[in-house]
Amino acid sequence: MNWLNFFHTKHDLRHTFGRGINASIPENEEELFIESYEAFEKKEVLNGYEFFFKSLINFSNEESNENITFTRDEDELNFIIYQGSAKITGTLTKESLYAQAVIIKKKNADVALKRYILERNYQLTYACYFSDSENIMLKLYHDNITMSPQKVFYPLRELALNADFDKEHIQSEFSDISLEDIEHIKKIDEAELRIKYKYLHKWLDELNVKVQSLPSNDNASMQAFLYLKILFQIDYLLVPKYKMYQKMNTKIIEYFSEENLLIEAKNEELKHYIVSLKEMSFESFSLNFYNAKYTFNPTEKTSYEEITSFISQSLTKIRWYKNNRYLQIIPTLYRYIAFYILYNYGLYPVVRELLHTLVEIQNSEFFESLDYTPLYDSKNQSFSKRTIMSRIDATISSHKGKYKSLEAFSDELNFSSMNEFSNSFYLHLQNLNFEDI
Amino acid sequence: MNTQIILEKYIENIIQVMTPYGSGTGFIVDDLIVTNSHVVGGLQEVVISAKKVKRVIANVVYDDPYYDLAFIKFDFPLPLLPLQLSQTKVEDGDTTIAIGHPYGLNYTATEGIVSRASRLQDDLEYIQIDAAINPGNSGGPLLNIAGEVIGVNTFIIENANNLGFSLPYFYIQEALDNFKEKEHDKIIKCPSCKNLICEEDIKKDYCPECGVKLEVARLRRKGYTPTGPTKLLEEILTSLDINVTLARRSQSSWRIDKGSARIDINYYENGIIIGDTKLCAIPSKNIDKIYDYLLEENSNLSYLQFSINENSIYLSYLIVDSSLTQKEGRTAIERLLKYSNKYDDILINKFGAILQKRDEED
Repeated sequence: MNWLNFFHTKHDLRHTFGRGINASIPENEEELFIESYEAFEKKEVLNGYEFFFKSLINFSNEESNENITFTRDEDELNFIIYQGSAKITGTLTKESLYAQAVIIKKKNADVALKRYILERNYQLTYACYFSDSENIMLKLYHDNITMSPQKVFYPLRELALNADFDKEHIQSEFSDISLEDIEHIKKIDEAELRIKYKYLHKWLDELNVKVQSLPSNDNASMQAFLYLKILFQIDYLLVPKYKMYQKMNTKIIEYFSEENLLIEAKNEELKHYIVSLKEMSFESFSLNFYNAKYTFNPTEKTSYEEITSFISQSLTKIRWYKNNRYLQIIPTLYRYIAFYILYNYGLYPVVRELLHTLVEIQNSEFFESLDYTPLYDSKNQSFSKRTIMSRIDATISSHKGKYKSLEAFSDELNFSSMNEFSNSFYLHLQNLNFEDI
Repeated sequence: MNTQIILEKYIENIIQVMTPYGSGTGFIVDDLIVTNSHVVGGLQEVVISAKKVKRVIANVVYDDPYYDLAFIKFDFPLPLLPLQLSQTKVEDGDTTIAIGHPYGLNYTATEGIVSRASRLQDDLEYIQIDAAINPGNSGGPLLNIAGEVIGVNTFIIENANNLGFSLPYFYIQEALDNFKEKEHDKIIKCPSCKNLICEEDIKKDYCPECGVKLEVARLRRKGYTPTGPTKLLEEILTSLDINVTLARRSQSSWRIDKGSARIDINYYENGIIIGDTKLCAIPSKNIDKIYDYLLEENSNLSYLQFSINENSIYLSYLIVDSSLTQKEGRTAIERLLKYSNKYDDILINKFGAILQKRDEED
């Protein structure tokens, strides 16, 4: 029992996990959004933007991440928005909004890259690639005649997400072309990278053992769960960027979108990619990581019904595997559910926090190596029960101000084994009530 | 005669009929265009085009929902080889040719046979055919191998293969005779009492003979009225001296030809309005230079942007419906109209880009 943790319920994250803003939104986000709307209605354009920007500032450990900064005078507001590798600079007047992100030096662009960005122009709705004498940039122009916070959100989000996505893509596909305007991204220190590299190999070794443990035939689905779970796990826990992320993401998309291939063939593809991860040197691996601030989430918020339906279907699958005595795959499936949801869905902050806690319990050793207090002792198979309960209760209570019927469920969890714990956690996660105040 | 010879011989008689609700086919008999009532959608005005006739507005002078027939008056020279209504009885097994514009594929002829010369549907006889007819064929002629009209292709059984039905020539002849006898240009046939009613005699959409409510009368009186963003878009186009009735391709799409450029404006269900011009195709040489030019021009352009899709260069204007205003929308679309042709010329003459191929009747 860790008494320090018993009293210390607030959980500070010192690392980035998963995609998106991965931080707290302002407690008064909704009020700021309404104030923004009202200011735009009154034609107080700059005030409208100021409230809007404030609603997008996110916080880690109750401190602003300064993901958006701005200065304003009577007639103009200048702002910077950070989104991963992209830095958006913009100017606002009462009449119009102009924002841009510098991508690369024009002289460095080859014909393939120019073709790529001109094709991207056809896909984008609000933003547009262009070049001046020096740089290739992505820009956004919008007049403020009928502006509202809803109307400005999507154009800025498109600009920021795509500038970041394309910079990552360029780094991955055209690695000899250097990106511009990336001074704001931070290197990850070598010690942390070493831990990530060590765990990548540990998980890959464990995966190999797991695959060997499967029945010799009729195991394609189980293999698929093992391969996909490890990719989702790498994505959420290690958070690779650039080529490693791009390639991994492509493999996952291909797996789920390719309907004409047998699962066995798709498994081979994943296996082949996983082998290439294993062969990656530490130096190559290190090139795929950085820390940055984020303002927008890449996925639209998913309805809670969709998430509960996924959990329900997954628990049904687990029951099938249990009934058919394929017990070796059960722990993987319980982990797969959380990682799958975190990878694919835009989540309510409370669901995201709860799933993170579950992931932290299920991957306790990894978190311990990053200097977090472990929530589960795998050698003795024991939980830090009070810490876990306090953490869940704190998460629920911090969101009760918004959802009046959210109920803590920590005292109903089953701590008898990791599988039982995961099962009871998902069952309660399915029953959260998101009725607004 | 074989199918291709028949099509070539009578192609000038085949008309494309377009409304905001969709498009169908019509054909010339005497001095009128015959089509289906459901093709004209209860409108008084439709847009027509033919092999030698560019898009033009024409009036629907007869609308008969009972036979699903409509007649359209036109104002261009009659074809040199006019189609004739058949006088010969149709027999099971006769070879037939259906001509139309299925799915917008202009002048498509499909050969088949008469599966049943007289199939009763409600109280009307139809010719059942096995020719593959599709949406867009409606209102088109069904010909025999002598090239005579034996029917007007009227409906199919959905989700069935090759079950088409044509209204026989004798109903067409009867309707033409009755209409001409009236010597009036706005006639609705009452589907209940079957009397031919002059539109001006209709009060509050009731048939003056039998008192039934005439849906076609209501639709003709109401006409087509765009609403919301489509209304604003059409107001913008009108302010730019564009005839929106001719430009309109559907309730949410418009097409304007300007020099060598063709501007398409589409309003999508997600609220995005895209006006774009598919300019020339990229050349085979000095491609890098054309990319540089497009990216540099994107720096100078406001409202518009260059992009590439597949092998073509596009100049586009994109806006969300809720942000569209008369002033800004007008400026943007005016620039799109003005610059499309200009840039098409520059890209072709200066950079060797390739002029787009286009269906002449498209």
